[in-house]
This record gives sequence, structure tokens and C-alpha cells, in this order.
Amino acid sequence: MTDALSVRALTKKFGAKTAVDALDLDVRAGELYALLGPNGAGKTTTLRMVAGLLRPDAGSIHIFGVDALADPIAAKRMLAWLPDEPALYDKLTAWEYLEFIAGLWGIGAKTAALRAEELLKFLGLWDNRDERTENFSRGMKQKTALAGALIHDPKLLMLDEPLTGLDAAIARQVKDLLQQRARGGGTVILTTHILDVAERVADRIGIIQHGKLLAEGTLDELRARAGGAGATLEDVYLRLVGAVEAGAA
Amino acid sequence: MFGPGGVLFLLRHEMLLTWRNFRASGKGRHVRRAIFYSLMATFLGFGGYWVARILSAFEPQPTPIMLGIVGAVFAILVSIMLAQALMLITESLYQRGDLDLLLASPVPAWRVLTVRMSAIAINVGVFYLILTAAVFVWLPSLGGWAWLSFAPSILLLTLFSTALGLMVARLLFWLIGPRNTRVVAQILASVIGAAFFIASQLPRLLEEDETRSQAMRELFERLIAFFSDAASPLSLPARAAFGIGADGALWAASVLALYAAAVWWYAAGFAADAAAISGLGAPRRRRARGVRSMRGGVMATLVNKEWRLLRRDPLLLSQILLQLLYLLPLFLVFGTRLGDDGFDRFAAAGFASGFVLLVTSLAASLAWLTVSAEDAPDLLASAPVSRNRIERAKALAAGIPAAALLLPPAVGASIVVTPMTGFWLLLGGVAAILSTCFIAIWHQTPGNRKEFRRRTRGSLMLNLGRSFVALGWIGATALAVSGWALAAIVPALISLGLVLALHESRPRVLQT
Repeated sequence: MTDALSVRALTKKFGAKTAVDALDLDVRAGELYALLGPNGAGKTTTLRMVAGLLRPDAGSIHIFGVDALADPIAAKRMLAWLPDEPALYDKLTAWEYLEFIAGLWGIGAKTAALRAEELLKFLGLWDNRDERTENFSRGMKQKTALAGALIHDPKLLMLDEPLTGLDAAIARQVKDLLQQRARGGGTVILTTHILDVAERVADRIGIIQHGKLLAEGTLDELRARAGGAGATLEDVYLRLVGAVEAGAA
Repeated sequence: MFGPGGVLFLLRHEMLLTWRNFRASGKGRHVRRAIFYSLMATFLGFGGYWVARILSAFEPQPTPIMLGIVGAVFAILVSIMLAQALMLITESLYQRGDLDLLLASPVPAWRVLTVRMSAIAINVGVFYLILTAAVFVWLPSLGGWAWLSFAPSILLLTLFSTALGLMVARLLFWLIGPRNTRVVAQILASVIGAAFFIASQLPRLLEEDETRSQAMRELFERLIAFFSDAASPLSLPARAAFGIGADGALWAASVLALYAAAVWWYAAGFAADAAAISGLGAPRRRRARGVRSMRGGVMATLVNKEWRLLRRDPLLLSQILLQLLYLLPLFLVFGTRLGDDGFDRFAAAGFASGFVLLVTSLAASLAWLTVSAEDAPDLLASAPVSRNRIERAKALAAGIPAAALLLPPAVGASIVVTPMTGFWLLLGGVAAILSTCFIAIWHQTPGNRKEFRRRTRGSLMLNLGRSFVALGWIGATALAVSGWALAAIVPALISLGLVLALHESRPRVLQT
């Protein structure tokens, strides 16, 4: 079966700093993959390269078998990218925002309208659909952006810190939506600082540091590698990251 | 007063913010900035010297003519200062982050307001003091000591203008509410600021004959009578500047009282106004849209989105339209020369080039907004649409309104003048619009829509290049309309060459 995402020897440098260092990463279709790592580890840079927002210095990216560097348009058609700060148009209403994204992805009008209604209702934004997003709270903005990411039904959904700044109720809604999506056959990759979230929702977890993948696998596999039975993801994470820091020192 | 939360503490904060804003608005690096300010200082010093020389030749005698002239100059100054003050007042009120912080602190709201409005008066005052200092510094050495008594008058005028600005802003809040005040106040400020400039061009609408001279003479005499009549309160500032009797003290006392009253009146409603502005985010219901609105291709989607964003931002629209308003006198100059007794081809050339300038200016503003001031660049970059296609759509969104503005005069010129006149106008205008949009794509200056006024920051060479491209097309249009179509090839080729040069010097970016 073709991987949803296959990254090989991916490298990105910013001046003298290597943000992503010959990274290899595979995410299977239909799984919810959490990418963990300390600040500046290269998580966001990796996902931005996959989304076509940054050109890698070296390496390859394949999305469902499509070479994202050779045919970025075909690759982008299959994916959605949700940054940590929702980028909305203040003067557009939630409905118009979705309408705009549907237009960009070339979704049929009827399908788009049905999908927009379904998403807005699920996310509790239906009553706010005709309000400009400039009036929205952070949580509402995040949910609108999420609806925008899902309106074209992407095969691969990538989210950068999707739960940052959300209250418990909205965070729960977002987590449910992501799990529902993975159960329905969609692939989700998310970066997060909240280890508890990764522990609860992710099928597999990758830990990245200094632009390299330190370890990956299910929670049990990671435990077996670095934590021992009964260890939490936090124990495993700190042990792995700490070991690298100690090695570097 | 001096401690944290005191008046001077707050004033220092205001001045620091002003200074930082001023520094942020500066162009380029230190060397370039130093050159710019040196040139400005030289220019001001040189101009100031000549003004001081002229002034020193006269004794400041309060004759009716002198009172009339000084009164008129003061009136012009007040209008410009009022425009500045009004702009600063609305900006200071709508900078919510800063105000929220201050109002949430245990500092009384009246103190915050008093300091903020004083800072506005200081800002306006310092600007004019620097400007007039260029004249004042020469006066002693040239024997014009007596004119130095005008310096306090300048300061009083700034206080007077700030007080007027406060009252206008408060009145607007009361009449039209906080949502509209920002837009209306800024439009008002721009119109007031440009009023004398536009009004000065109105006589050009009259025939250049005895009637016009007569009208001008009558206007001048009325102005002199207006500003020199001791019974008229409008003569007070000029009489005070000349130090007539107790007029100086009376004017100073009146201004200070007016300023205090304005601040008090404003402060009384300040907490409510600030709360109202804070509540601007109140939801506004709009009609639900159906499936039909989602039809249309990618280009239509992008163009519609850009137009929607423009339509929904009245402040931005007003700023763009005011830019066009400033060009109005140009048309008055040329328009009056399209006489009844035959068509003046030079006037038509001026008219046509004026329109090319107008549409270029509009296209440049819109192109910056659509291309460089994109709110969600990552969203567009991650969409399955090529960058070229997105940029083409954005250029289209900027170019279509400008072209639409060009069409009526082109058709009109074809009918009223000659078909070729309309054709040359259309050709020159379209070439200028296309060049402007392409340059906006090749040399993007990313920014926020709120930074519209600072959109021309960046490379001096690039700005010069843009200007010369526009000038080339304006010149080519003027020559072609004048009947020298072959000569028009030269400026047209220069413009094309510059466009190519700007294309070649464009930064290489990720192409997806």
C-alpha cells in the first residue's frame, strides 16, 4: 500500500543552521501521526516543506505516490495545511471563507455548500456563518480554519499545534474531529507540545530533534525502546530528548 | 506627577511611541536615512533663508493688508493642523491594544486622555516648529527680530487645532457612532487638509479674462476685510501675533480655555467611547448565501475574494479615493482649457496624461493591496493553484477597476475630440496599468493592509523605477494625443525598457 507521506533525506538549512537534517519519515494512509519535539526541532519546517511552502535544499517528498517537488499542484490537491496561527480574512464571513477555499480547490458548488454546512454545524459555527471572522474569538477562528482545511476533503491533513490556545471544550471537539477523520480513512499529521494529546489520539508518534527523527512507533513500541512498561509518553519523550541533549553536551 | 502612572510618565510613553513610529516609517538604512535628512535640512535651511530675507525686508506692521495676509496664512495653517490632529486623534482612539492596556491600569481615564491629547498637540506643534524654525533661525542675523514674536502664535495655533479636532471627533462619535467615526473622521481630515489646495484651483474654472481678475480681486479684498476687522473674532490670531494691545493675552487665554474645555468634554465621554470602540466587534447579521455563490472558477474565486475584501474596508477605500481626490486640481487646470472656440490639443494632452496618472495611481494602490498585502499567503501557497495563476488573478483584480475608470474618458474623448485621442488615451492607460501590475508582482513589498500608507517603503531605486515607468507612459500618451505619435515612441520605449529591467531584477522566489 502506498504511504500517505514518504519523505527521504529531507534537508533544509537557514544560513548556517540546519533546521531539518536528512530526515526520513513515512506516514501510512489512514493513520493519525503525531510529530513531537522541542521548540526549534524542525517539526514545522518539515510540514511546511511538505505543504509546498518551503523548498527543501535536498531530499524528496512523495504524497500518496505523487512527487510533491516535481508536481506540486497534484500533491497540494490531496492535502490541507493548518498553521498554528489561523490565517483568515478578517472581512470575510465564515461561509465566504469556506466558499473561497472551495473555489481554490475547485470543489463543485453543491458539494462545497453541503460540506460547508456539515462542517460548520459539527464545529458549532452554523449560527455564526454569516459573521465576519474579525469578530471571532481565537477558538472560533481556529475552528473556521479547520473547517477550511477540511472542506475539500483532503486525503492528508497536516496541523501545526492545532490545540494551542483552545479551551477544553473546543479542544475536545477538534480532537474528536481528527479521530473521526482518521477512522474514516483520512490521514492526519499533527505537531503538538501537549504530550497527553499525542498519547491519547495518535496511532503512531515520531519524536524529532535537531531536524532528525529520534524515534517513532506506537506508544508501546516507544515504551519498549526507551521507557519500559507503564511509562508515560512524557517519560519516553524526556528520556529520548534528554539522552540526545546529554550526548550533545 | 513624575512617578509611575503620573502625567510625565505617561507623556514619556506617548513620546516614545511617537518616536518609534517615526523611526519605523523611515526608509532604508542609517546612511540612506542620514542622506535623506541632510537633504531635507539643507532644503529647509535654504528655503527658510529666503523666506527670512523677504520677511526681514518688512517691519511687521499690523496694516489691514498684513493682517489679512497673516490671518489667511493662519487659517490655512489651522486647516492643515486640524487635519493632522483629527487623524492622530482617531488613530490614537482606535489603537485598541494600547488603549486597552492603559484603561485596564489603575490610572484614571481622564489622565490617560489628557496626556494622549497633549501628546497630539505636541506632535503637531513640534512639526510646525521645526518647519518654521528654518525661518526663525535666520531672522536675527538678517535683522528681522520683530518677526520672532510669531513663534508663540504657532504653538497656540496647534493647541487651537487640537481642541477643534477633539470637538469634531466627539461630535462625530455622538452623531454617527464609533463604527463610522473612524472612516468619516479620516475622510474629513483628508478633505480639510486638501481643501485649500483644491479651493486654490477653483478660480481656474473661470475664464482667464477680466471677469476672473475681477473675481480674484474681490475675493482678496473680502479676505483682508475679514481678517483685519478688529470687531471680528477671526482677526484675533493675527492681531495677537502682531502684539496689538491685549489681543495676545486674550488669544492665549481663549485658546487655553478652549483646549481645556475640549479635553474635558472629550474626557467626559472617553470611557464610553473607548467601550464603544471595543464593542465594534459586535456581530452583524448578513443574509445567508446559497449554493449559487460557490460557482465560478479559480480566477473568479480569487478576483471575487480581492474585491470583497476591498469593498468591506471603507477606511482603505476612502484612503484610495482620497488619493484620487488630490489629483482633481490637475483636471481643473486642463479641463478649463478645453474651450468653446475650438479644441486645444495641448489641453487634451494634459487631460489624457492626467487620466493616465490617475489610473496608474489607482492600479498601484490596488495592486499593492491584492498582491503584497495578502492576509493568508500560506493558504494560497498550499492551494493546488500555481503561483503564476494566483498572481495573474490578483493583478486582474487590481487592473480591472483602474481600466474601468479609464474607459469613460477614453470613450468620451473619442466622441468629443477625435477617435484617435480616445485610442491613444486607452492605449497609454492600459500600458501604464499593465506595467504597474506586473511590477507589483515582480517586486512585492509584503505588508499588512493596515500599513497601506507605508506601502511605498523599500528600495529607493525600485520606487524611482516605478515612477519613471509611469512618467514614460504619461509622456507617451501626452505626445500621442498632441499629434506627435512618432515622438511618443521614445518615452514608450524608455518605459518598456525600464519594465524589462525591473523584470530582470526581480527576486527569485519559490515557483510552485
